[in-house]
Amino acid sequence: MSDRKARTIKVPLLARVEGEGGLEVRVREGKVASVSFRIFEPPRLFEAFLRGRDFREAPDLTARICGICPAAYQMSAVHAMEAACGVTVDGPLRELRRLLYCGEWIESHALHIYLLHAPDFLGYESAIHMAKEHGAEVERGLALKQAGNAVMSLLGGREIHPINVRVGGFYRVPAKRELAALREPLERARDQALETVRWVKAFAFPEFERDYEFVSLRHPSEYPLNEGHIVSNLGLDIPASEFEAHFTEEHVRHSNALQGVRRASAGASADPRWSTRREPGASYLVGPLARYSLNFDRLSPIAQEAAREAGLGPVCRNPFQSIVVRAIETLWAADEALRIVAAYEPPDEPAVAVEPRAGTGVGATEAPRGLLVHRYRLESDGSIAEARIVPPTSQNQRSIEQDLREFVAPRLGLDEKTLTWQCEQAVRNYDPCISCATHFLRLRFEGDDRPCRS
Amino acid sequence: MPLVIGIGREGRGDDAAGVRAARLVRALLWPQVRMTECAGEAAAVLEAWRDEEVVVLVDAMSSGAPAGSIRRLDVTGTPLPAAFFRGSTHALGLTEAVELGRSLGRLPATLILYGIEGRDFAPGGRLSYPVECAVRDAALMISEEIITRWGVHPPPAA
Repeated sequence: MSDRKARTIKVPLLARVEGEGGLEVRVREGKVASVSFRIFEPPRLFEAFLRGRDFREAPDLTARICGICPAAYQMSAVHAMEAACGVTVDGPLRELRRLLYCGEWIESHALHIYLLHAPDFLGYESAIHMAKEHGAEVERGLALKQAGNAVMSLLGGREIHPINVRVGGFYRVPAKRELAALREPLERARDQALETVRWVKAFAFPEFERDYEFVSLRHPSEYPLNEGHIVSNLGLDIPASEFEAHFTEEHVRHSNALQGVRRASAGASADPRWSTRREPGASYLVGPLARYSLNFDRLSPIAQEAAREAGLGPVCRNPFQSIVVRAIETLWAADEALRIVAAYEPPDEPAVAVEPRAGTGVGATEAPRGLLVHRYRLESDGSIAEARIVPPTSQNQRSIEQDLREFVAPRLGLDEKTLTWQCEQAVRNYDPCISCATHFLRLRFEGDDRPCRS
Repeated sequence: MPLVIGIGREGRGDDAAGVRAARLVRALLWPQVRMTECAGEAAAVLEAWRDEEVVVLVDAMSSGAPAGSIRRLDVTGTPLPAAFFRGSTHALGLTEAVELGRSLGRLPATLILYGIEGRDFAPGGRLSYPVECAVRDAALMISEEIITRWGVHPPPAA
């Protein structure tokens, strides 16, 4: 019998996450001694790389940070630049930006639900193994993702790394009939998203809840995508420009990504629990669970109804149920996309003019994985003097570690394999996006296929 | 008529090898061959070969072989090596497309994969010299296979 007093749960390389990371949970004397969510993907130094570049280049350059959510990077970048230059983009251009974002949410959430996360709940090593017995469901996931791809292709110019977004708007806007062509695939996607909610709600979810500080955008009337104040369930309500007064990033030895934490000096809050969260380094949670729990009342009726049918209240604190929340957000995104398509009237110009000026601008938008903040300081000629990018996974790292700590403690009696599986699943609840790896084949040749030439 | 799918992206150094080779095949055999390009995202690749009988994929690879090495795999009946499924590609890529297609019964009747070993995949980079040479060789090899196996003839010289 193994010694339950001292053990280490170690996953050197996490599967079904973006980029290269691992986790390690050390147990001593029957208690969790340490938890490390390790990110060893090398830093890519984008912020330094942006210095000296023209402000108009930021959307295309930062889109390269992530292959799953390039539009999110573009949206945060353009909003930050427009804030720095004192420009507001409104009307149909604003709606088209929302539509592009809906496409990205559908694409990203469908990928995570069907191909990365569902195998955890159904006991498969990968989606490829799952597809043999759940072919119809995987086909539905692929079709749903394809609908998101169609939106991205039309508005972004291509499915991955869109090239049509610019500071002030777009390079080209679609004609009304082009957008109308999205109606049919989006209607199908809405049906498929509803089926997705009904599919995932029946999964078995571990009994686990945490008292998170949820942080997301909140808009006066919309489910948040591009705009809104940064709010939390502990009473925070600030404009995006004040983000750095309340949040900061810390370096830890086991991670090549900075960890987002609450700043000690953040101001008072109406919630008495806030006093316990004011120590330096307190974690907080961004992403679907936070967005949903802070904005349930902003979801469309069909999405609210689906959430109720799935047994979710207006607040969800079980991270394993994030798969259900993603399905509800996918349904909302398809519904919202259809609303935009139906109401669309092309703008006179594809973009508003933006003249550079010296100043600082902050853009905060809701990437599929959560709040994504960009801050740029511009010189008067429009060159970037300073850039700061705070992605959602960086903000969630400490929360991932705290989830693991609290999740593992009462489950130390489980066998190694089960506990390791559940720990990996707990990390995948976050859909962590460690990097956008360069696309290339990684092959090790075995068997009969020999090189043709080398 | 075979479909050639070039996988990869411009502006990422040798990652563009697949699309460059596919464009050359089209130039050599047009209009006897169809060609499309994909960044490599799994769902898009699966969609690209939907209802196709004969497909030739060409992509950059990183197997540890010398840069510019060219490998050909008939993946119709042979799974790609398990090492291929490393979890680092969140944007599920070509291997996942092939194996998902196999699990779902959505592989073309014939699926050939040509890989061109890359050296430098840095953003903003150009094709490295050995890969640029290999792109031409791979295009000739693919064209030759299409001509001999499927009876496609190149257009007469002008």
